[in-house]
Amino acid sequence: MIGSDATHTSSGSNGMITGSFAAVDYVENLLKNYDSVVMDSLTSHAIAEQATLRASAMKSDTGWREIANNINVTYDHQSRQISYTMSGGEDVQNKAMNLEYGNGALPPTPLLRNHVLKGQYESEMKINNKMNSGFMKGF
Amino acid sequence: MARQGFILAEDEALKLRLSNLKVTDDREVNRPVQVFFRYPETETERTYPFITIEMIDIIHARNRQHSESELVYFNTAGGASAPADWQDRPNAVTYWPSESENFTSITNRNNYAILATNEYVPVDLVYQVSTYARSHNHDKQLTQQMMMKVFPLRRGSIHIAADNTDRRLELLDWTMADLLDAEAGYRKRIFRKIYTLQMSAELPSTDIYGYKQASSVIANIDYIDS
Repeated sequence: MIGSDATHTSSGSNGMITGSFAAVDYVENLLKNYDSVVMDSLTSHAIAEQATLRASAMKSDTGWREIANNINVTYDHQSRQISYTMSGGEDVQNKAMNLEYGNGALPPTPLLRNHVLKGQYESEMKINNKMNSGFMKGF
Repeated sequence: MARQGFILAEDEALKLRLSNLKVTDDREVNRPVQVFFRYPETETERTYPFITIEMIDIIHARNRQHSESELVYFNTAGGASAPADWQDRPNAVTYWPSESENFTSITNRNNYAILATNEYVPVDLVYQVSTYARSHNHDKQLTQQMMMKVFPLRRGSIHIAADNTDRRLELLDWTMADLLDAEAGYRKRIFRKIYTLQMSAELPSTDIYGYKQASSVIANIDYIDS
């Protein structure tokens, strides 16, 4: 109000100070980006899981090596589920079942279950970090 | 007496949980279901239906791991004057995992008023329990008993007699994995269900060590003139 002789200040149409609440902006950002952040985080996690699992199957001398490239890890955004599956024909499916659960003659070598159970804490942490950085982008 | 020792105590508890299951058919009203550790060798006589137990992994349960801290046991039998309700304190320990419910397995326990150890390391034992039946009816009866009584979903717990603790026993997965019977020339089906279970357990991270309580406190300091 320099040079003004008015007895009160005028804030004009934009006000003296303007802004929005960061909390509200953050919630709006969450609403806008929630789906894509969740999908990106879990899809990239599934891709990384598949690569890790295939690599450990390749190192195994129990028979998993031959079907390592049939191991698939996928994320379905509709059901919000990560699935560990085997692609391929009946031979591959039977071999995977026999290896994972055993069949009497063969003891179980549970590659898939052990991987999921051993890695669940780390997986949670990784997904958590990915989602945090996704949701905090720009804040 | 309950079997003592890590894995042995847990194995026994799981076998006990699965023992005494029975199925019914028109030939036998109470047909017993045998329980084996691992799939029985060919020389072992097995009658259908039967159950196998296999431990498939031991996992460090990092989500249950606490910071390092000292746990103490006030050995009142050894002359300790214990604070009131000491067992309720967060640093109290009253059992030695998979071994003893009150440290009686320590032979010189009573030489010490206080026993102490480091925080136990939490682990998860992963088991595969499989049911084998030649009859579809037996298979269904077994599945019903397993899901209703033996490993009910979300209500799983198991008592470990060796240390008198109640542990979590979670049914993680249930799957159908029927087989063709090799002994019958692959012409008959064996109905097989597989249950993946996770049982909580603990491992000691140090030995037990004993403290003796101070017998007297000298409050006055005497100066010695040189």
